[in-house]
Amino acid sequence: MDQKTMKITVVRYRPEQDDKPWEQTFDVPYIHETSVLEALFYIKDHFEPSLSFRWSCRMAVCGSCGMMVNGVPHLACKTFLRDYEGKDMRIAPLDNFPIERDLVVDISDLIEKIERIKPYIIPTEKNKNMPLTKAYRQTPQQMEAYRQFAQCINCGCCYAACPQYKINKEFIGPAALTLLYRYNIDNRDGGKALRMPYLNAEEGVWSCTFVGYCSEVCPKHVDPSSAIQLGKKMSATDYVIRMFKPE
Amino acid sequence: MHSPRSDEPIYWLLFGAGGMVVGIVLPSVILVLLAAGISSPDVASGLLSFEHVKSMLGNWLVALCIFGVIALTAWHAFHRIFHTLHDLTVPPSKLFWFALYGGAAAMTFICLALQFLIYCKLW
Repeated sequence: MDQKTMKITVVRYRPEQDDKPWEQTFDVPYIHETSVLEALFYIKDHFEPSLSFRWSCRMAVCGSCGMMVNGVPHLACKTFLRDYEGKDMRIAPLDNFPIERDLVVDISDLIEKIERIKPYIIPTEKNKNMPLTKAYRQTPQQMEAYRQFAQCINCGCCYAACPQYKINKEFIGPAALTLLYRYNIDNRDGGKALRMPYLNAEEGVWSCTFVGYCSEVCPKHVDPSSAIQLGKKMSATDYVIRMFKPE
Repeated sequence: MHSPRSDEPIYWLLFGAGGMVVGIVLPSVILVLLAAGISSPDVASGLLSFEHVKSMLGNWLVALCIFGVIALTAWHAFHRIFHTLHDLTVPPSKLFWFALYGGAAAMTFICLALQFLIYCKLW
């Protein structure tokens, strides 16, 4: 097997002994199939057992291993060293989140925002007393309307990419707004009225200036910026309706 | 808890309408003006002479279209500048807000006032 070596710099931060983050460089051997996550395993196994990073599924499903690779948010498991051949690599914790330890960031703000927008189906008045033995009905077309936006794995890459979230941490942000929109357009859902205030607020869709970098970095091709623009349309429609028909 | 509703939809809808104008209507307007300028280059008496253009504004439909193009383009442009300032991390300030949206409102008002004068043959 054709084995090469890459110089990988990892940002380290151990809160009990470091005042601020610092960098440590390793020479990591790799083959065609080596992912960034595997390179981190190699560093942990061979050089630095104390290196901390989050991971779980190793196949872009769990959303744990979001990190900055050469300044761009990526899932470490879905990013391969072969694509950086001839270059050095710098791995850093996700931007715009406080560092907890090494490559582990504190994403509680993201989790709180996702919880805030009620990301679950709230039964309509009609379905409220539906027995558990019955199922919601949905046509393939009705599912297709939101399917793309339901692919989010909450990895936080879009928050690390978002220049608005960087400036203003009050902004609900790409992933949460996408989920909000996803449930609002689900025909089985009856909770739109409860979510609209979050969408309509300044820190809802209106903090977005459509930079679009969130959609560029999203490892699941969710296209959050599209969901937010559609959310603006929904909010603007609601605004005009409320001008003539106040709540 | 959530914050109060944002008033941004007003500006965003004007911005969106202006975007359609700038993207679709404005290029054809420029094309027509260029064609008129080339086919009748005499600015003193040709198609683009002041008197001729002014007489066109006497038609309410033409006047309405031109007002729409100018006003919506202004709202689009000033809204974009306002948000680009934010993207360039210029700290948000009421001064910029009033200067830029005030500019758009002023352009709309001046355009409306001039057209009204021309339409009512007061100028």
